[in-house]
Amino acid sequence: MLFGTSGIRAIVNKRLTSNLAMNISMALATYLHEGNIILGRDTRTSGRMIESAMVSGFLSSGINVYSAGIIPTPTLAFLTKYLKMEAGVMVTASHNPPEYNGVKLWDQKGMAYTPIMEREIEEIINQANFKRVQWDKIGKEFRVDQTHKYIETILNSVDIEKKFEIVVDCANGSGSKITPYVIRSVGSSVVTLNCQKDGFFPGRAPEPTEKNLFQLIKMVKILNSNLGLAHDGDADRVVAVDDKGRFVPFDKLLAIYAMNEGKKIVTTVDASMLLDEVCDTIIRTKVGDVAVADGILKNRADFGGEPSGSFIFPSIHLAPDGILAALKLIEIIQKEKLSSLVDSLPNFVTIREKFSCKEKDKKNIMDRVFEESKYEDILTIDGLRVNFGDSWFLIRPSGTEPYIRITCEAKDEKKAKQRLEEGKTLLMKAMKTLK
Amino acid sequence: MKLSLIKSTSIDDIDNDCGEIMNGKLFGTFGTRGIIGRNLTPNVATKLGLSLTTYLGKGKTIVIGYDTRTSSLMLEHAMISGIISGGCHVKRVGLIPTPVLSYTLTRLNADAGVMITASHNPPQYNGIKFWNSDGSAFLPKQDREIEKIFFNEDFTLAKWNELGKTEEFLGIPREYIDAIKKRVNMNTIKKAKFKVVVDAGNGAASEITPTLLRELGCQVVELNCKFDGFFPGRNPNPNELENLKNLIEHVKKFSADLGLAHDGDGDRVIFIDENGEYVTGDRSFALSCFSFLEKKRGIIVAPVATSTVIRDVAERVSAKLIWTPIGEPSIVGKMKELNADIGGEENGGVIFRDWVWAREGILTIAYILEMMAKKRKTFSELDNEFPTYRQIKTSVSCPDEKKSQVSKRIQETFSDKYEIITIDGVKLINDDGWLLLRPSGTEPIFRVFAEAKTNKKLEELKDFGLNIVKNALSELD
Repeated sequence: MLFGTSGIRAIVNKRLTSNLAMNISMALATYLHEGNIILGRDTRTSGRMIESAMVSGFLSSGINVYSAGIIPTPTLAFLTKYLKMEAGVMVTASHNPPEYNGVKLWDQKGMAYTPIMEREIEEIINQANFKRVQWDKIGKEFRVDQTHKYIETILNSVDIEKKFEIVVDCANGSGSKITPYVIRSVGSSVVTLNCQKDGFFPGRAPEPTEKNLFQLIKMVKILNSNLGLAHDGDADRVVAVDDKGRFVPFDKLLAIYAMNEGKKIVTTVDASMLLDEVCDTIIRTKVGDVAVADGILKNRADFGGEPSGSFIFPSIHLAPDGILAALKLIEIIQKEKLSSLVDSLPNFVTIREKFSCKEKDKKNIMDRVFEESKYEDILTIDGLRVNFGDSWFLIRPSGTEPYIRITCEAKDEKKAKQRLEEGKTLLMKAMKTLK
Repeated sequence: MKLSLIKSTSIDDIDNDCGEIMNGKLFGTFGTRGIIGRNLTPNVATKLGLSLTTYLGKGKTIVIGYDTRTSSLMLEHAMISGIISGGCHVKRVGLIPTPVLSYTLTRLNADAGVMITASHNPPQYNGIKFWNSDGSAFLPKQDREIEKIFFNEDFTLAKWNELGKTEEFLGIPREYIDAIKKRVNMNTIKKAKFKVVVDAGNGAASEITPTLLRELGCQVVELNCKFDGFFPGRNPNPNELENLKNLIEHVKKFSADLGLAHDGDGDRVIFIDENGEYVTGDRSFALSCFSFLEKKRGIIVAPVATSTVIRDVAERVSAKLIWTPIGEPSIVGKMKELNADIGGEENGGVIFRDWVWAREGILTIAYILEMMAKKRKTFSELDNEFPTYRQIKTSVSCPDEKKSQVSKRIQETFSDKYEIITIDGVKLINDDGWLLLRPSGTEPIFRVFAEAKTNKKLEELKDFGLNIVKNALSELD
């Protein structure tokens, strides 16, 4: 399996070589047959290596390449649609460590490739039966810089009058210039942290977790700022630190957006039941932004997101957009301080535990889990989620690592632990019967 | 009158073995050459890039340039990806003539160079050629090592924090033109106000040569001087007369002092004199020597197949003439060894000391113009100072396994009757002219080159040459 829950991710020059990158591009070219594509990358040290291999592959298959250079993922996805490209190709490993890189594909609508499309691409790679053109049909490469169009569009989508003091930590990623710029454009003053583009990620690891963001948290406290914002490596995610210098829990941030964006909300099976409490209609999908985008499209939802800082605003486009989300949050805190918004939401207890499981056993074990389960209120879109009204647990195999995870949530710790035990018992039973 | 009976291609063409990329052999006389969409794919280019970095070691700097071919950018990107993943840095100089790449190597102190070009080949071809830090082409020995790494896939990959970086250097052509202008007497050339027709064949020298000439005070008529990988104007090989008909017409129509034609990558130039006559590459090489070595008593290095006119020039300027095997690496190798002043080939590529150790199709023009201006003579007047010769090239079949015996046999038979040179094939010289009998490296044939002062003598020599090989063969049986 080449494609995971968010495109291809692998360690550079181990699995992800120039040759693989070239094959991916030639497979996509074969799939598209002809036309123009836009290609961008994040700040990783291997970005140019992967990008060059892909340009070459596309040209050899007769596809014209519009090179956008270093660009945030949401900007690339937006431009794919705006410039009427056949596809968008983003070279990024998003929040993964610096030794990783990856490729994420976008369709004409600016939406991530679905697993079905990804499987077709993978099949072409496996067959190694690529389209190749003669010398006189070789594609052309153009440079493209239309970022201002994206900026214009997202700025027009928000209504911000109040001015704030905001600290922004862009993880030395591809959002490093654009996010401070748009925030200044809406009148706020910006203090930047890790906003020089650097593939070594010298400031912090690119995943925006509370632990990785201790500098930002400190900075917000010291400067007494109204808000702290942090991206991952390619700015498709944003997380927040409130005006009291507290990291806003992922689920609460998701709930705050959901409450503001409308009635019909899409989220994943592993998201908190907090969403059920604050929203009219909740549609649950598999884990991964691709599934969320698909859910939004199919259900004509108003908003979608994951409890990882990934938010999709379908009125603008169907890509997770950390930059647009940053602006939206500024819009939201005009009415009420972020800290009081956070405090107004109930506190639930979430426990996560992971159990080692070989890739090949995952399916069998999950089949046993479904068989052994005697529960009635269940969701089986992605793993097994059991609802109890006031609590739930989820048994789900990881899409990228050799684990099966159990996530559970309840209103208090005692209950949460109880649910965890129930889930564990079920999983252990399934694992035992397999042996 | 300078146009001899050469209807055929140059020696390079004949000997150019495109290298069967898939069959264990990668490099021909000119690096790797292949057909786009067939055997020269991006994957091959990436692997070649990795082979080069594995050969050089991590952390080195490599300059990349390319010609106007439609596939050049594609191959450049693939090379860049391979080089970066092997942990070497890339300096991109973009679309440039091959001699400018050599110039860049010395100018930027880079460790190696890559030129993406198929020189004079038709547009469906492209190629990859490696260069040393002193601007000289990789030697066959170096190519073999790269080949070994390539086929064993014995690549050294860099870790994420050791990957190479890329930089662009787009101002190099300007520096190169300025450097050429410093080497000649600009004012003398400017005063002459030459009118020159340039046919760059839509190749890599399409901008540099007209720009240089204008800055030397020439009135330039441009023909096929737009970068275009489709080569809409003409076939990129300037060594075939029929490709230069248009240029010749223009020289006559505009009453120009000179016509110039480049190949695809500008490492060669062919001259048309003011009468519209095609001048062979070894005559323009000889005149370059005349211009460059006057009052210098230097050393000229020439391959054995070069016209006798080179000897006439050497005598005239009291230079020492050294013969070498055919091929740029042999000539450059000998020049370095002897610290020779000038070397060249019959295809219109000249190599100058204290410049770059590579064939030049551009600097050569400046020296010829300088001589014309200084001596206040037209090109044909200069050329007429030396005798004219006629040449012919043909071949006769000979099985590979008998080639060395045939060569030996010829040497034994004729060593007492002729002046004989055996550096590359067997060259027999007498007062009428010379014969070069040379086994092909790629085909089961013996090549027969002949040069004489008259057509009659030439025909005789040619038949004589063919018979020598045939007789030697039959005597062996």
